[in-house]
Amino acid sequence: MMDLTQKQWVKHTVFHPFEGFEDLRWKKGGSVLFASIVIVLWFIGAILYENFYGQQFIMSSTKMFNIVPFIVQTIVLFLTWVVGNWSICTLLEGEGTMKKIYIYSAYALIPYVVQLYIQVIMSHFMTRDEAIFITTVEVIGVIWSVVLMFMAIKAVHQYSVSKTILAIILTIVAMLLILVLLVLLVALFQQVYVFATSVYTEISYRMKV
Amino acid sequence: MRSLQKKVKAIASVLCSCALLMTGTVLPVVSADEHYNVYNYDRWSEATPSQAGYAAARAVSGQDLGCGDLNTLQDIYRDSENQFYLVDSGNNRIVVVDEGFTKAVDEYSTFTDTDGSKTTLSAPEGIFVSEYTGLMYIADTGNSRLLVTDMDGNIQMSLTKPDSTLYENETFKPQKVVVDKAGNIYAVLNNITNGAALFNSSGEFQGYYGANAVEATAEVVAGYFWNLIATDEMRANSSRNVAAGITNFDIDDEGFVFTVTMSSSSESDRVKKVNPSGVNLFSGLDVTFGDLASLYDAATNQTFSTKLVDIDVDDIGRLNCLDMETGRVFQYDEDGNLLFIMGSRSDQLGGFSLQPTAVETMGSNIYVTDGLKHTVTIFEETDFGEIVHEAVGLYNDGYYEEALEPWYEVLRRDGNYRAAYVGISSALLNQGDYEGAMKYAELAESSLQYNKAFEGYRSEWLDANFTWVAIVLIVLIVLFIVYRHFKKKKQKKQPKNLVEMLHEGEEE
Repeated sequence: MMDLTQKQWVKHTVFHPFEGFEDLRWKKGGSVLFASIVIVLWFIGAILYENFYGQQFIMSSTKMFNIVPFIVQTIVLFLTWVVGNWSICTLLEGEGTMKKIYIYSAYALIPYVVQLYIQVIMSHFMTRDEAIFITTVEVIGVIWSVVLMFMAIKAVHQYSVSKTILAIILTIVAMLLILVLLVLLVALFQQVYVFATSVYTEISYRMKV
Repeated sequence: MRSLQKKVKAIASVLCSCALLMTGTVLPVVSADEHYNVYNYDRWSEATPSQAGYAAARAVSGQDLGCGDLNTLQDIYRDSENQFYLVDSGNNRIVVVDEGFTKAVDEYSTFTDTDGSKTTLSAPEGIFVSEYTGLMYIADTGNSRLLVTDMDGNIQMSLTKPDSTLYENETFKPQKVVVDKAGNIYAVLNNITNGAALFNSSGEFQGYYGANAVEATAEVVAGYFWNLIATDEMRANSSRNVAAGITNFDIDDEGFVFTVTMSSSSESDRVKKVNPSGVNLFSGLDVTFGDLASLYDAATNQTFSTKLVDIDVDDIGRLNCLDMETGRVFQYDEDGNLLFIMGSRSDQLGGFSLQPTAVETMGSNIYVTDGLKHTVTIFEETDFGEIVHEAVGLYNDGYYEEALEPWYEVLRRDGNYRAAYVGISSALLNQGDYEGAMKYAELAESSLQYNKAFEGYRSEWLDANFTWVAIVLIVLIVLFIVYRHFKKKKQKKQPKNLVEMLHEGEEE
């Protein structure tokens, strides 16, 4: 039963929110490649969403395009989620490995990512009066993804509902901690770098004299 | 032969006129000779270089006018006959100047009181001359009174601190005064936060008008909650949250009072358009008057943030706001769209000292008094300013298509002028050129304008291509159904596999 190809697994998990991930876990399906494709598509979709949205809906357009915020808001955010969730759930007797969390979370994001593209396309055909259709698509995509994400975490760690909620809240806290530490680390390394370069310039000046 | 000659002539004349046109349009009229950086704000609220709409023509001193030195000019007012009234506060007099600002034609320093005695002014700060009552209203600040005199200097009425229980304040120091058509007198009082004092035409105190509101900042809200649990002693020591008093005002022909508030704490009350019942009509406007961000000057270690001291509404409804902090005049159209910024804080012509005090307009000229330089600086419209004013005037009156040519001319001179793109887009939309309207709306980054143009473009496109759209849709639907059909056929084969699989399982 359920000998699906990797492509079919993607479809199965997205369209069977309540048992899809359990099946996926049972049959040990899911591929890192497809998960990574989803994340890359999310990254591209986020850029399209910000920069190629229909002119009639744009409230404030970007003056200068900068790719770094998009990397942080999609790829870095997702990796932080995976690492945060793994570190919390290892302590909370979760069964998921880092690889599984990565795959399952990425699959859960598919409706949200697809919704981004549909929004961008629709925004070029609709006027402001019809914005309600675009909003509907957005709301459906987001809710769908939230449900999937919940079920994914539940399935990957074999948690009960209440424990999943707890795990997700703790994961968000862990993500914040990780980001704070990251910022701190970057700042510290910057200091070290500045110190090293100033020592180097100092020495190079002395050498010349 | 003749026809050939005619042709040559015609071609030559066309060429000539072309050349003329070219030079006329291509010759850049660079921002006059302003010694400061002329700028305007772009779509992202960032200052961008711009063409000057006004250039300082000359600065006039008391010597130039032939009335002796002026001292601490506090106010300037133009009456309906285009005579200027300068409040020469340091010399305790009012100087009347002719239309061309060349010579003083009259001077008021002593007034005849109602009982026949003579009286003088003391550090007056404001003046208003009403064409409806034919009287002159002087805020005689030093004497704590408001004088109402006729044009010969006979005092008709002298308003002092009202006895009315409505009047809540200890002092009565009128600084600025305006009068509406009915003769009601509005006076800005020093150190009073309740708004302007309102007197009726017979001098009875009616109440306050146009008070500012305390902005609900985080600090104010937090203070409110602290007060709930604080002891009386703590409350006595804490500072009160009082709205800043209005600094100055002007009245337009329709009876709307425009107030300015200098306090930097209340950004939303900086400029208000108050209707006769005291409601601020600019409250819904998404406009920050004055400079959008305060500026830090590292050279002098100073932070400059807008402090508007005076406002003038000209005959067309444009607002001119004078910023004391930077010596700049900000000109807005009647809807609060920024037109031009002029002036600076400097010693040159067109620059002001620490204390520019008042702004007045006549036609397209702007007059600014300086309380420390003791001069009046006259700004005149540049070519660019004239074109922008023409375009904005037509546009605001709804003549979009007539405004098209001036807008194009504005863009030729200053490609950063955003209102021009919106104006052109509106005109093209009116003409039914939806694609052009979309293009210019996109350049203007005006999504609302783009939405209108796009709506028209889409319905036009659908009208033209409806058959094609329908055909494509039908073909797509048919293809989809066929696809589904074949897929189902494939799936029907699958049970065989399942059965086989089951058998396999049994064998094992």
